[in-house]
Amino acid sequence: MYVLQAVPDFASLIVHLVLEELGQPYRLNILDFDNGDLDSPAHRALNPFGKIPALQTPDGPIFETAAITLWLADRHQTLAPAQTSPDRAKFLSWFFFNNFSIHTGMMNLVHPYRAGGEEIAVQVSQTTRNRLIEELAIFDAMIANDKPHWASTQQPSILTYHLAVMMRWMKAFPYFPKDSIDSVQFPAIHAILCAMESRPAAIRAAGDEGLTGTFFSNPES
Amino acid sequence: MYILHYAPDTAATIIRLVLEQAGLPYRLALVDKSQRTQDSAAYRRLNPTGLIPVLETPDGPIFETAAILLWLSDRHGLGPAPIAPDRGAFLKWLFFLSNSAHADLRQLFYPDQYVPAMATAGHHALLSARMKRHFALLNQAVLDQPALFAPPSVLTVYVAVLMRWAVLYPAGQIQWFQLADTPDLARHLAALDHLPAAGRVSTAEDLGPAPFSAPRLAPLS
Repeated sequence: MYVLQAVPDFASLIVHLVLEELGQPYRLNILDFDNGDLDSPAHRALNPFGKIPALQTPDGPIFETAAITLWLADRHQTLAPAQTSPDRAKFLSWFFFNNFSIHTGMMNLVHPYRAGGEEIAVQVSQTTRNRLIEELAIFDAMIANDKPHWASTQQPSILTYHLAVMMRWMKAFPYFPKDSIDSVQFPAIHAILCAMESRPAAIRAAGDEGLTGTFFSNPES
Repeated sequence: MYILHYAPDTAATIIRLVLEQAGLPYRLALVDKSQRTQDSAAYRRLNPTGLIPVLETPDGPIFETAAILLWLSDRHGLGPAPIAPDRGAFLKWLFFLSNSAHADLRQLFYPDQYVPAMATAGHHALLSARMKRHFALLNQAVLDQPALFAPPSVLTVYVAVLMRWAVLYPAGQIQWFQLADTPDLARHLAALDHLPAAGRVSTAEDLGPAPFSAPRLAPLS
């Protein structure tokens, strides 16, 4: 039985969606962010950074969201091309791109003051937004042109779950609402988000965290 | 036969060290940064994001340093396999190196891509403090999980190149990191310097006699 250390609508949401899609037994251990649960000794023992998420597995705890989802996909042989698949090389390239570039940019859009303080947050947010739009356009063009099965409207993958939550947060939670990024301007990505938010597994997991409706393609802020 | 698209003393050096150490056949294709070759149509076909390196494989091109490391590790048995008990720990440190350590170091080295010029000093202070915490966590990981990091682990090669850069760059600025801050990692760096494979790469890229334990800048060509 997997146990996921979770805070609603934190990065644990991505792992929660993947666990529900896998259909493997798991339970959530909901932590109270405002009560300082992330700094508790019990959580620190699982994750020395005090970050969310951490997943307890039969092989011990794992942290880093993408490490957890890739571990789950490999262990259960679904939601990502297998280690021996010829599609693995390209999948991994974009999976890591999403983590290295899109995730980093999303964090700067939601917390622009972390790069150099409040006084430059406006500029950081704007610079970050421009960069993210370039990167998302590259991503969107690849999906539209190459139509990889691991980024399609037909079936989910761990990559599309990561991307869907990134797009949700970039739309709903920028520090400056004017810098919100709307998935509509990236048609191939937008179509995937619309398909994923109608999947029963996604609706169940998102619903458990209080998210309803168009929670990926057009979330409420 | 692999083809590594590289420039000296870049993230491509990480991949080159791993290929060389594993004795895998490869040839090099120089990306001329002075001519912005990474922005050429031919290079963008291999990697639409334009970042260095790209590794051409029989399964097509791979980009993103950590994606290439993971793919090579799985294909050639250089790290824990998907079914191994320490796979989760391996993945978490690989992702941490990519999306935390490497991504923050990149922001530290290229502040103009992230913050306005007047904010560079504050940005440097925040990012360098974050990097020191990342290296401290990695130093602890070396003590907690010695087998994962024992040279020539791909994790240690990755962290060694990041540490080399942390000592050397941004060139001309105040020294913000020294190897003595992370003595257990530093021991591994010294061990890497003694590997014949590292010596060959260092000679070819003009990285100096001890590129990791006593980094120096390559002379201007």
